[in-house]
Amino acid sequence: MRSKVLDILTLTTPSNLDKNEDLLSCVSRKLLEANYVNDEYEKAILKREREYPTGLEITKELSVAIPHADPEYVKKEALVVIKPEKFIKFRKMDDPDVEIPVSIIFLLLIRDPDGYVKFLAKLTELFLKEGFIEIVRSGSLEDIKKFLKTNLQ
Amino acid sequence: MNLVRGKALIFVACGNAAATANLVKYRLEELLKKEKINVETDVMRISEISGRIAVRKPDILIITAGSHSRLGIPEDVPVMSGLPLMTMMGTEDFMDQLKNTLKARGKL
Repeated sequence: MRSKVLDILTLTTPSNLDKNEDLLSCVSRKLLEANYVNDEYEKAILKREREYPTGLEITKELSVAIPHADPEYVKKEALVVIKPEKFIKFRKMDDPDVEIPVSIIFLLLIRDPDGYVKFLAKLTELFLKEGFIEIVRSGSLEDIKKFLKTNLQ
Repeated sequence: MNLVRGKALIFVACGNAAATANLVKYRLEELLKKEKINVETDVMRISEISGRIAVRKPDILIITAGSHSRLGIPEDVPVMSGLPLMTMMGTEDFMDQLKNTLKARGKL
């Protein structure tokens, strides 16, 4: 099995956002400007999140979301990390009627899902790793990036 | 043992047959390998499920999204949530349930 590693890209979003649709739109536009995605990406990621939400409740204190759209809209692969200033409501992957307050978003820009399986396995294992909750809660975006880099290589 | 059993077939489905379903399939195969259980797995989009089942019926269908669980799926196909394999929480219960289902279907 191939085992590729994604580049980590961090993004900030305006502090007034609290709906995942607004956040995803804002992030999509930034990614379009930076040439990571094509101009249909925004529509695709919103539709995908609406139909198949990606919020994951890791513990009572920490929920994450892993939005991703079909590979055809992605031009350049990356793991995009967004830590909004306040909680963003996402619906749960396993229970879409329930909204959870998400404190960190890992947006997956992937063209080759098969190649990144091990990377994604490592990433989702990190959610349970000691220190992860603490760094998400009190670390800066740079701290989080460093933590991810150290643990995902 | 000389018992010849058919190999179990497990379908894994998520929204777009990309990140999540591949991850669930990978983890499932790793866990099954540990238990020396040999199955065939196939990844698909949720929208493809009914068409694929019409051609070939799986022993178990694993879905990583919640609300679409039984849409267009025949009653006799057991459906399991793939979430424990996403978050790695509750994998033991998941594997117990999976093994019991395979046993009940004569595939284990």
